[in-house]
Amino acid sequence: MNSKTLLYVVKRIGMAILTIFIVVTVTFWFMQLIPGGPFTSEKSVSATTLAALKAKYGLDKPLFVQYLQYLWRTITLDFGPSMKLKGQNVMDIIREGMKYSFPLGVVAAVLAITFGTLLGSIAAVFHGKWIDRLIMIFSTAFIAFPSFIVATLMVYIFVLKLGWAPSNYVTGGTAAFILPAINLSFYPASYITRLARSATLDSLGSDYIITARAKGASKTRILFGHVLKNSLAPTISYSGPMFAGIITGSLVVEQIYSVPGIGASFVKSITNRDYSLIMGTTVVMAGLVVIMTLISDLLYKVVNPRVELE
Amino acid sequence: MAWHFGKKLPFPASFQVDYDRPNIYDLGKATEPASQEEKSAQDKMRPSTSFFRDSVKRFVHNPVAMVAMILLLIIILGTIFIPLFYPYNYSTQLSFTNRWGVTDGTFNYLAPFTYSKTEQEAIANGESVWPHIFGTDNLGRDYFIRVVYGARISLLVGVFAAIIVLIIGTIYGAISGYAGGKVDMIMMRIVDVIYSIPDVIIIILISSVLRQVFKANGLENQRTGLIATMGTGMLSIFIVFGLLYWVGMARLVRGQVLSLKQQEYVLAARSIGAKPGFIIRRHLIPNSMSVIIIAAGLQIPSAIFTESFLSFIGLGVSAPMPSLGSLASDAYQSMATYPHLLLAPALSIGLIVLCFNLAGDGLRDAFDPKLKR
Repeated sequence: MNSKTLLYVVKRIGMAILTIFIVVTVTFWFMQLIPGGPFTSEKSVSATTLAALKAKYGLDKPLFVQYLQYLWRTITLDFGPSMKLKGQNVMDIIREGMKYSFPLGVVAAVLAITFGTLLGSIAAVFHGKWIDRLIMIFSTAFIAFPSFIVATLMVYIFVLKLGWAPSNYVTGGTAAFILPAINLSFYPASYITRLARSATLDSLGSDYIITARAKGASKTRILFGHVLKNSLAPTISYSGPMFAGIITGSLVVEQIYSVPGIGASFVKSITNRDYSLIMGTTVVMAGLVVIMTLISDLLYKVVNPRVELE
Repeated sequence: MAWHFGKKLPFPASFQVDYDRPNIYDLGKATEPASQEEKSAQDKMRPSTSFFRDSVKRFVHNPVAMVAMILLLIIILGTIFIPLFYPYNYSTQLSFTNRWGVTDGTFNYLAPFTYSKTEQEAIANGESVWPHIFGTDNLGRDYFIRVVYGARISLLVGVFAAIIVLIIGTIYGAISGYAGGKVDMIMMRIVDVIYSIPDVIIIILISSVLRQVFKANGLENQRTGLIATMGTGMLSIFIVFGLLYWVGMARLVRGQVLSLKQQEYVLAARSIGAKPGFIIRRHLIPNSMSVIIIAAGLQIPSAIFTESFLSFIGLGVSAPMPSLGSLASDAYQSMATYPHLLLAPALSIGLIVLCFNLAGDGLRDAFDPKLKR
């Protein structure tokens, strides 16, 4: 690792920390905009109870002190108790949700990368043939249709009409797991298909492939030894945004499949106006996205050393 | 044939004699001015073409983009004109308010192209009743007109969001690109940071907060003015777009300006003392306009996407005004029994977004071949 690379890594990490800091700050000050504080909806609360409640959540201190406390709590990943779900810690709720969301997201990512690269390479190899057209039509359509629409249609067809999957996620086992995972992977898979297709097309026409062919390398050897490596590079640089996409998708997909994950609890916390939960979930999700983007950027540099560092 | 060696032979000098060729080597005629006919023989017959015409030609020859564009035009015209003559209103509950003046519960949840009891009687009596193309919803409102209105709202959201992005992004990007140096670096670092913020999560946070702010300030119940016609949900979508989504446009415009400001005419303008603001307004922005407008066009489906997403999780356009997202969200609850209520808005969103994407990609390829992916 030379000094230029090291500088890039340090710069990139600094950028990620700055982003997380900004998200935390924006979250905190935006929440302060909400008039009347979080306890206004409970009308029967007396003045002393209100004061006690405020003391409990640390809302009686000056704003800037609250902000510093909040920053510290973010570093220690402790967001205090939930404001609506009595007796539950925000971090516990998030951890509980992660138990369901994490496997779902990982399986969706694996599905997306596998099928995206595969279909993209097939489309490129059969460039201009009917199979290429078919793959492109489907990937275009799945990019255009919002995930909640695909999800509702899939629930209607596979759960309600055909009855292939059980409707209860928690007790449904593997069968109930597959459908939302596939659903989450649709958008990233289509996107990766397009990326992989154009990357494969590029490398198929490049000089080193012609050289390899001139030397008499077999078709499979060229495909797996030379082309695939290069068509993977843009996929890796996309994996950060893909993770963000899967998290966003999970907000609606989890709700539709009634998965008790972090996405569903986030949406519920919005309708409940559970401010500490909203803040905690926002920060955790944003932090995950930023870290994943960082990892994918660094990984891209490892896979593709030719890339020019800023 | 009189060869004259003082003149250069036209190339290629073939030894084959071309009998139809006008005798240009005849010295007897050489001193005479060329006739109009001879002059016009020299004309290149291809008509002159402009950049715009060339691009339009490229676009027209792209069948997918053309079909998408025509469909889009039909949809836009439909959302404008269908409500003008359509016999039903998007908020009229037909079970209570109909032209027969009776209360009839069978108006609720009509299947497509079916009629309520009252209407069946009226038809039996020879009256003509306009069919409910998509049926009616749970409150007996004609669903077709609701979908049309929803599409109108969604399109409006998309267009306005794109305009906001266009204005902010263009100004910011042009200033950053033209200023260069330290100013450019700082401005672009700001863009980098905003770009790396996970947008959808922050959007949800901001719009859920803004809703509360508007509600507390009594703006929710305002009867007149901007907010009353738009609703708080839509307003927060615009604010979010103005805060977060202009960065892509700013990057694009900056790139354009960076390459354009090296051109001689900018140097010329600068040398006669034109101020930076004037050069940006007069030269740089107009010359990157085609790229900017196409990028803004591609922003529209993204805004529609975002709006429908927010509506679906309950943060979008407020009732009774429908948007395609909120229609789909409402219909989701009764999906098992009334799937067509979900299908109609769902497919409409997909169709509109798809058309915008395809037409936008086609336009970009046609107007800016350099940007082609």
